Amino acid sequence: MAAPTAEITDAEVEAALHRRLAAVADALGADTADVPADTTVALLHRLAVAVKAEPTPARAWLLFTAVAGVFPAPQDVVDLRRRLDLSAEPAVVVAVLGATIAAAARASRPDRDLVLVRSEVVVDVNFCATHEHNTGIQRVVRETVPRWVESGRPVRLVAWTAEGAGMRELTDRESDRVLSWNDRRFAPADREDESGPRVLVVPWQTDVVLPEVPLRHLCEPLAALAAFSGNRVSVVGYDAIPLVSAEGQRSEESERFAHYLSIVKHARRIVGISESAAEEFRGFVDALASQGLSGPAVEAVPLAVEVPARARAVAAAAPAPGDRPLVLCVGSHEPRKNQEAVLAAAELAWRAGADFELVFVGGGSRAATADFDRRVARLQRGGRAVGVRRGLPDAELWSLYARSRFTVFVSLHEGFGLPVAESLALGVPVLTSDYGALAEVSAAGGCVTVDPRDDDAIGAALARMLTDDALLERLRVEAAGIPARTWDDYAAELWTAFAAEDLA
Amino acid sequence: MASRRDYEELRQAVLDDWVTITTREAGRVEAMQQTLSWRVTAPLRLVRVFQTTAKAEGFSVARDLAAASIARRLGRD
Amino acid sequence: MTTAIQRLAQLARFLGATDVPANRSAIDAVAAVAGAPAHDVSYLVIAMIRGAVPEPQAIKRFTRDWRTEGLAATIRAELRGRRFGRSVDLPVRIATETVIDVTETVASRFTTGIQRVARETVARWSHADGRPLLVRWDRRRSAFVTLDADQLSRIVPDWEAPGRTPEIVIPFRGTFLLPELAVDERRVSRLRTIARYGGGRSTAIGFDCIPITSAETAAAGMPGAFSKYLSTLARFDAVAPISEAAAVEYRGWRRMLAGAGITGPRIEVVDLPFTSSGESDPDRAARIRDELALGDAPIVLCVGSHEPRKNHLTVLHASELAWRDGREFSLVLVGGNAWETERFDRLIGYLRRRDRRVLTLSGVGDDVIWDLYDLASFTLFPSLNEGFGLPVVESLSHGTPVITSDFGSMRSLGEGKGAVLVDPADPHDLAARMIELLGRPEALAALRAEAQNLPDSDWEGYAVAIQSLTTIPAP
Repeated sequence: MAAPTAEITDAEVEAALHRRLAAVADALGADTADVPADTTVALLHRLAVAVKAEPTPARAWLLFTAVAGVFPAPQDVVDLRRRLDLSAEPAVVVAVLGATIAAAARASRPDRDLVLVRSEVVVDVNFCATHEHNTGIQRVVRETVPRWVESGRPVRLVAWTAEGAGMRELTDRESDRVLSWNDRRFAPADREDESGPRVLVVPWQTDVVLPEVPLRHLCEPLAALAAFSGNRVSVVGYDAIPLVSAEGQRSEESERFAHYLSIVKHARRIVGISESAAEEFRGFVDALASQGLSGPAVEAVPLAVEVPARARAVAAAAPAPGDRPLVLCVGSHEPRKNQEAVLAAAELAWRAGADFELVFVGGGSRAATADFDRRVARLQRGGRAVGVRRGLPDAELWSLYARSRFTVFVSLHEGFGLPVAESLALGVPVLTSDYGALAEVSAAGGCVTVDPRDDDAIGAALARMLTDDALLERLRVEAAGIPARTWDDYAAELWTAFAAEDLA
Repeated sequence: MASRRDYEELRQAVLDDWVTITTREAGRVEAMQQTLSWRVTAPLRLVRVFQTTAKAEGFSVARDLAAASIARRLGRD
Repeated sequence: MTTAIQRLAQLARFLGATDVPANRSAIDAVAAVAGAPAHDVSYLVIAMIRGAVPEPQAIKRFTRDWRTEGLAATIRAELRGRRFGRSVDLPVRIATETVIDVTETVASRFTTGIQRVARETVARWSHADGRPLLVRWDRRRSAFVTLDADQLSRIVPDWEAPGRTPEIVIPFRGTFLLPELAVDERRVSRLRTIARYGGGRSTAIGFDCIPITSAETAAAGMPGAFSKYLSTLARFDAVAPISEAAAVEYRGWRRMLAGAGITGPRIEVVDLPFTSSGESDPDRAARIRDELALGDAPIVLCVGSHEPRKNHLTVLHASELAWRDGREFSLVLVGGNAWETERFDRLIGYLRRRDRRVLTLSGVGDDVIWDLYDLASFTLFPSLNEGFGLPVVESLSHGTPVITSDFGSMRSLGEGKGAVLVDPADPHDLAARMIELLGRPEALAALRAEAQNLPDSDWEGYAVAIQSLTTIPAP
């Protein structure tokens, strides 16, 4: 726990307020010649008068942020505009202070300074900066953002203050987590108590990129930023699983996603990680017409797949496969991943005389795995060659790939289908689903696709892939011929997509 | 009709109140975080975070996060 | 009370077996007549063993076991695996007739817009193919149960009460209608089972998708619960949105389903009728004017619950701008169900300190509301998102012009029929239109004239359309 900070005095808070107001005075078009000599209240009065004279949402948003030292929620901006509109000019200070006091009082640090960012692209990497977790979304961010930085793109990375007051700079350790994931300078550690940067980083008339799905409590300030601040918000669209497949999700996840959509509906652009993901967001954009919104433009830039050189080395060095073919199924356990269908189909194949070993790699919550583990145990008692590995080190996983005749991934709903792409990149053919993102990633070759809701179809495909050597060889050749898509490619294309129109 | 000076005094008074309230409230948030009860409940909160993470991300992730958290605390003490 | 074995015997008879004893040989009797492994039969078997519609995962697991172990063995395993030993204290009925879930409608003494739709539809259901079976979700039993006489009388007072004890209902190969919103998680999951595995045809009335499209206006917990409700609707055969605007939301949502390989339901708009049930009574209205001390100034009325989406703060803001412009009028706000009222209360206080005539009413009877519609010069309804917009219809059917939002359902209900359309996010736009109507009687008269040509539609037509939608065979 951090050492207690010295008590903040009234004078320090007022001085910080004065500095924040000075920092935005120019942007609000107030004559700044006398600013240093102004009392706080006089400066506040001039800025409030300036905003009342031209009360756009963006100017109200900026004024609120400067006064409160906190990014506003949507209703905060509406409320400030209302108070300014109804106040006579002499009373605007009262209006502004009344509008901001609740938010300011909630902030743990009322003495924050503020800096405007006008000519860089603000990239919100909050979760990656503050957590050691590294799957899915975090992997994308930790590959893409460092490449933007390295290739000299004008980016400004931000995280959020602990209580969600606003955007701030990253600490050195946090920058390390985002930019040097594969070559850490700092030892991995959980989120540190924040006694770090106290300066609010405020985007102004620039672009803001959200490459993550924000935490629940950040959705209101981000929605306000997207709707009102005048900044242009772009979003990476991963999937709409918490909405479309809500039956297999926790309600909190679906709730968070719905609030994320209230940011998305005011964004300028969504770039999906696949055509399938883009299509999901297009459906949402269609729905917005009922509330008089046109919503963001939607396009797709497919994710990259890069397997580490180490993986290829292990795969190449592994011993030749044994007599009994190995079928591998990699993936975490939750209902939509559909591993129980693989078990059922495998049992059908075994009963029809197929001879193979089936290995599942991946963990999940106890609720998700309880029934699955029982079924596996029952099959094992019946003499079936099925096994489950959890917490497998990477090297062992790669050698499993090398020994596999093919992999199975018949998920019911994916945003991209990374396990399929990784298997193909390692040269191993895949049995996967015949719609959505999985059909998309399989189109380049090396795959057999089936209806994942049809046990018989999966079983028949298993049997075919186990016995048809010519098919397997063709699939291997196809897999080897799939053009590489690197993170360099993805980072560059994503930047172009975000910059497509009027990027600063 | 209030005079200009009345308005200025009113504005200053409102600002003074605003500053006082926000300063005091902020201190309260920080003070709460320093209290014994907050520190005592830290392990309970850690368990809660673990449970929530395990449900959301699976046990292996929750275990990694917990291990990192414990390692950090050990390193500091 | 029935035991699982007794219910299995009942199932065997339902499937065509004869001479089925109520002992463990019932298991083999069921296996003998069940046919090949199929989800809808698994659904029936599990439902009869448990005495309730099961959750969807149970069906797939059961069918898979059936395929590899045989039905008799799977039934025995299910019997062994029963947890909690919950007794089933009601008879269980396999229902092949039309089943309608009216859980919320029957539970509430007050009638919300949604419940009104369910009531009017069910009450007019044609009995040509027999009377539909009305059910409600019983949380304690985790099952759908028929209504008792008292509950029936709340919805369909002119139906004769069946006089039977309530039964647990297992819908099977029949028509199922959900004419209301469902957010209880267990109920929603069982509805999904019925839609997907019940072998019949399922239809839902679609009100809107606002908890998803405007999550910022929803109460906490609602977007999460609503997402699960939509997951269930994804498995229905048909959804009948109440307006084209609502349909735009449902079609957008359905487009999203392709990522999960789901086609989604047929979406067919059945517009709510342009009708209002209030009766005018000028004497009564005059008395109300006196009782509420509304004086002689024009009355501007705003009807609607106090939730952020209804945008009452903008109503108050625009009204203040109109008062400052020198207009004289009384603003009357009618509505309950308040949440997040702090800003509203503060703004009301501000207006009252300026001696503005603003009256807030809640919990008033329908008569008073109809009278206010008659007394009002015009009404305000600048909502930020609506699936329908009942206050627009109510106002216009009283011949009272309305200022409402310039998009979605409010626009299509009101445009050309006596409504003025504004940007609801702009209090100056709203104020300008109010000032115009308060200052120019001829403008008001022109709108009243428009409101004389309202479409002719009624609940009868609506109910018939819904009923025929439920019976259209799937393609």
